[in-house]
Amino acid sequence: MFSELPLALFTTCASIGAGAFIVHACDMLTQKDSADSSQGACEGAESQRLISYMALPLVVTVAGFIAAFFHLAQVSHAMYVFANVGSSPLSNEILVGCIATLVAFIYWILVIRRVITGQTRKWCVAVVAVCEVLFVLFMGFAYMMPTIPTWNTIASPLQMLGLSLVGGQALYAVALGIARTSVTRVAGTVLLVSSLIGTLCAIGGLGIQMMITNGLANPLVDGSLLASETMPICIGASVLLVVALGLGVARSRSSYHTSIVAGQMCVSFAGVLCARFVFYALALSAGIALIY
Amino acid sequence: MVQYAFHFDGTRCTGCKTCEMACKDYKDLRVGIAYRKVYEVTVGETTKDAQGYISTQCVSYPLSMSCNHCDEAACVHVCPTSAMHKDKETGLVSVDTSKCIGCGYCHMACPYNAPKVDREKGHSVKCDGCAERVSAGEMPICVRACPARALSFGEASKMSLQGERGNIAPLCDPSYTNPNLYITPSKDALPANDMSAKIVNPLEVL
Repeated sequence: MFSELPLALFTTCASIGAGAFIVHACDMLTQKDSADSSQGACEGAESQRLISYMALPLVVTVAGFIAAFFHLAQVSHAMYVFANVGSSPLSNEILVGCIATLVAFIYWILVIRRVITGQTRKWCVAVVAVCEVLFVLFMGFAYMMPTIPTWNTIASPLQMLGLSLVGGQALYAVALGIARTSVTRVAGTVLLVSSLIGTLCAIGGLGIQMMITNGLANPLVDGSLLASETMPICIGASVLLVVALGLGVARSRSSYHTSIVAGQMCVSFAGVLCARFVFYALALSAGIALIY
Repeated sequence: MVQYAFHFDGTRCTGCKTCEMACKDYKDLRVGIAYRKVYEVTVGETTKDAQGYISTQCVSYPLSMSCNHCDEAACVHVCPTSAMHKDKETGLVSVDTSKCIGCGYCHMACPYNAPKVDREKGHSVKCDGCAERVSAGEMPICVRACPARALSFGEASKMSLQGERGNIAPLCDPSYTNPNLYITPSKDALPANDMSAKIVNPLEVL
């Protein structure tokens, strides 16, 4: 399980970075237009400070990609990774991830330079959100191989989406805090709702995967034994995700106190990383391959 | 295009592992890497009754298997770089080491434990059906080495006349990848997908 640390870090960091942009988009899209008709929504000094610190999710996503390189045995051939787009789930994932990160980066640049404002900015952030959602889903699809039945279910992308929202809203709250942006009621609701949905999807996805693993076996491994051995980490991950949700509620009631924001980020990151380790541990081949 | 296949005769195999050693020697494989493996498959149990009498229903049979050069090879499907590819002339699956990134997806996807990432070499490694010997009109080294003549190699259309496709435990349902491995099962062999058959030499083959 821990031999997949580079992949676990990739799927943790990249999903959290993507999730932060998804939550940011939800925040921007739910904001009302300014009363000043010469300014669109999301204008103003606070918004510009916030967009500066949206570099943080970009950095976290890129850090995830860098971690993935440590998984490879031959990094120098990395550019061939797009050779099998359309057939290889991994090629598809990397392509969609690169496009999503590039689109987010371009959005970030255009907003900082005030090239796009108002309604145009809202359209652009919606495109960013769609790209990032696709990236997160493709991270889940990448593991859906018919010969690994415990991974070949809807639980894989469901978990990824959930974990991206859990970590993403925590990272977005950090950006809001560093930017000293006042959190509107709408933004606060967006953060809480995304945290709740994320937690439910993540824990639900883990639960589905656990149940499926428990009922399967191959000539090498009994799925029920695998599930029971992984249960402590699964419970730990679930507890961390629920604690992160609780800290999110506390955060909203404490006017975003720095220590609670930071604490929620740390707990969210740990919960997402543990959940990824559980995912890799529950790999059960249909045949006689011992994956880890 | 000719699809080549292996035939394994379970009624002849003694589990001597000469095939495995011949391959390791011919390919100069280091400790820990084997392209062909002999799985020791055991079914049943030994019990002791209340009077202390011991009885056994244990049976064991060997299965020699390398890469099955499947029709729908999972490794080829998931490979992001197309390094893992199926030869158009022979149907043999091999690794293009100039493209392989060693991501291990082939190892994860293959249900027959064929490809592995050799981190020392920096790429995936597996049986290539001794493609260079086959192109010279010779048999793969494992087939030539088998003292019991338990292994055959040739066109899939001919091998399929000798046995059924991947049909014994501990192998999975052949419909996953349609392996080009045709088997004549031994008397004690269980059908594919039967989970009561266990591999009892996992440290050796995995």
